[in-house]
Amino acid sequence: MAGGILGLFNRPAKKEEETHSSESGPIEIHTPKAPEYSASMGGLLPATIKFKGLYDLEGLYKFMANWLRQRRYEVHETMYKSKPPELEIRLYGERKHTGFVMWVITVYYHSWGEYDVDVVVNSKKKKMTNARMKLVLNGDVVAPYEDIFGRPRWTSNSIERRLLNLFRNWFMKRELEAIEMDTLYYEMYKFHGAIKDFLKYEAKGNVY
Amino acid sequence: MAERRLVVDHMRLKYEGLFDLFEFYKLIDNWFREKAFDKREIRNQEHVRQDGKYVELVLMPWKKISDYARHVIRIELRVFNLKEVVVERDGNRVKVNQGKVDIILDGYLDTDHEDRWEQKPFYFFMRTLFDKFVYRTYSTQYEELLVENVSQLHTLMKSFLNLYTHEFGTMRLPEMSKL
Repeated sequence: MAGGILGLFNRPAKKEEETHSSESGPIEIHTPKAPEYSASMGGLLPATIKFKGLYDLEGLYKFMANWLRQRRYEVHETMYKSKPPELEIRLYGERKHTGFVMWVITVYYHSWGEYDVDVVVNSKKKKMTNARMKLVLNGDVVAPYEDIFGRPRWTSNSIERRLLNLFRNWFMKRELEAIEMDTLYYEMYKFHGAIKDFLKYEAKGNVY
Repeated sequence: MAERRLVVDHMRLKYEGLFDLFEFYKLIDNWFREKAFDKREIRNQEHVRQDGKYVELVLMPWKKISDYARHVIRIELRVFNLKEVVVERDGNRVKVNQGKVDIILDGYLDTDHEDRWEQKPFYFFMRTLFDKFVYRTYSTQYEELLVENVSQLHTLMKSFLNLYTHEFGTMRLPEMSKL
């Protein structure tokens, strides 16, 4: 029993850095000493909407994109996969909230069914979708976001990363978790409620 | 991983008849907001069928009581054969829903939700020790509060659905003389 009961109190031994100095040994692999880093704050809890029946897919798509655009989100369609009867769409909306923090809302749409079904609505012919669909909304806070050339910031060397980790995990921790993530979470639920209203759900609305 | 204790297990409510689902949903959402619960809607599903809509809702809001404990209430709401009907109420024609509702309520008490006391075996041991002997009264209080909250929500739902036609009365302690 290495260390006995006292071993419980000890910190786990740090891994010794492997040095391969011999010429016959394997080639040295560069392992950076800088701490691990991820700009994402870990993501929010996703919200799901499911529906089976007749709905206006084009209207829904436009509505979602417009809703995000009206709230100053930059909307990107990262995937459009049409393989009838299956259709998969991924939307990605990003909004630079401050110089350091960016909000991201992702929409994952997946449906199976018939598309472009002619239906008469209010004595007008309209193309609608008769399918079962799943809509998953998710969000994330990215801090710090990339610069205008797509290069990550505060990661060029070990000191910058250490400073960044210190800043995010200690000084900004409460602000990022309690203000940024919480606000985005409830914004996502507003979006969720708006989609339910559009689809004329029975359990629609959002009082938060 | 946080420890989850099941405090209220499958408190059930069934109803068949007229009601307003939109108002019912709003009532639940409002109640959670007033009680300072954070919203979480895991599932919201609707199937349009020939015999009416099928609606399935799973809500799991949570509330932090302290840095160590939190309440989680899980609501599973299923509505079968949901139809829209027009009824006359106080001389006015009003649109309401008709269908069969099945609600299941569960209450959980999550402890150490920030995973602070599971880093080392010794911490875990200390946490268990403190939970069992030192903070036992606090844990019991939290559990009682959760039971009270779930019962209050259950009562609210019952009163909304007008399910007080057959009451069994309040619970009384037996008289000492008859024991």
